[in-house]
Amino acid sequence: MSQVKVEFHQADLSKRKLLKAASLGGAALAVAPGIKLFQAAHAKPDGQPVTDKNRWGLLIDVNRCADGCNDCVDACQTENGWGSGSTDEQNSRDDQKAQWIRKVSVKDPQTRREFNMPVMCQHCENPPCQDVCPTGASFQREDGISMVDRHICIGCRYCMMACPYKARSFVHEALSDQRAHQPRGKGCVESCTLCAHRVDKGKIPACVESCQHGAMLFGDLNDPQSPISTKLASIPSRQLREDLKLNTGVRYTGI
Amino acid sequence: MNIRLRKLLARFLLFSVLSGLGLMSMNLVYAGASEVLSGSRAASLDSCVIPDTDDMRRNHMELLFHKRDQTMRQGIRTYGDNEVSLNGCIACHAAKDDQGQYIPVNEEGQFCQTCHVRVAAKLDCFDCHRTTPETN
Repeated sequence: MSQVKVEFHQADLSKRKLLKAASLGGAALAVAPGIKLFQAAHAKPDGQPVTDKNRWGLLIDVNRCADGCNDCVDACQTENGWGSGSTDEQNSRDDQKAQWIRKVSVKDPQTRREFNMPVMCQHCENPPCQDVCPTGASFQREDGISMVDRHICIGCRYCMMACPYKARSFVHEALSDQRAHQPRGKGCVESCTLCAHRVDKGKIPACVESCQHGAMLFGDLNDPQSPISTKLASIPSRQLREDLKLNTGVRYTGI
Repeated sequence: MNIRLRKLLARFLLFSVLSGLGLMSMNLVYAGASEVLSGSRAASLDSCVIPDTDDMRRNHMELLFHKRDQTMRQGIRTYGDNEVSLNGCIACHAAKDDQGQYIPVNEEGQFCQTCHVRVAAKLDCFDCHRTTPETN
């Protein structure tokens, strides 16, 4: 999938913030060199509903995210049946096609530092998509995963306008090549589900599994003993657009 | 007076016989058509996950509604062969064509579509849900 070049000023970071972030990222590298970011999710018992005991999240190490690598995006496409993982959406323009996760390249024109990061639904605690949804189709599971209920989505796309991360897509044409576990269809909005179907079975999201550089860590933010929580407690990390106070489930280190 | 009464009685009798015949024939049609298609996995099994076929015919939508909310909102996924799920229905009831390829269950004459055409109920499920079992 195409990579998106984001100019410095478009990334909504002031120069001061970015420089600060960059220096923090340098510190993070020094604090935790060579630690592989990987964790198996804890399976909930079969037949039990998800609870707010868990809050699933991601930690993405921007310093490990390799330039030109698209593995997480490819894995998401295959797993969820969009983009190259599907034969559908032949009549849509590139900017109309679904994009659940994208690689974003950021450049600081002052220092000329460039870095990449995957950006997907940030699974906010206070999701703007849910605020604006007129039907209740944008919802949040007890375990913090934001999703679209396609059964009641009317395709108004308010949530796409409200999302500060451009995380949501609208399907413009009839589809027929969906994955069995991931229904998708014309007239509905969709986005990253944090691979809820995998998480429910105790697996980690496809993007995390595919990352060969160990740049992505999946885990339970509510469990202070989980690798992601201990990592977040020991190194500096940031939310994208933390000024919006959304308390995102996806965190970044190295930006 | 007697003649009018007799006429009324005759009309009533005629009406009840005709409507009875109509209902019977509907029942015959309903019971006679088998939606289980040869070549589907279901054809090789003794009964459905819900053994009462009539119950399944009447209430499958309730089961699917219940299941959809459980799965989507609560993350309760099905694991075994004997659990109710739309994917399970499709996996079991999709028939294959001459080339051995699965035929979508919402195509004319196929498992879901046969009844839904008869009762004129639009099949919305397959706007989003996959219509054949996943083979890979």
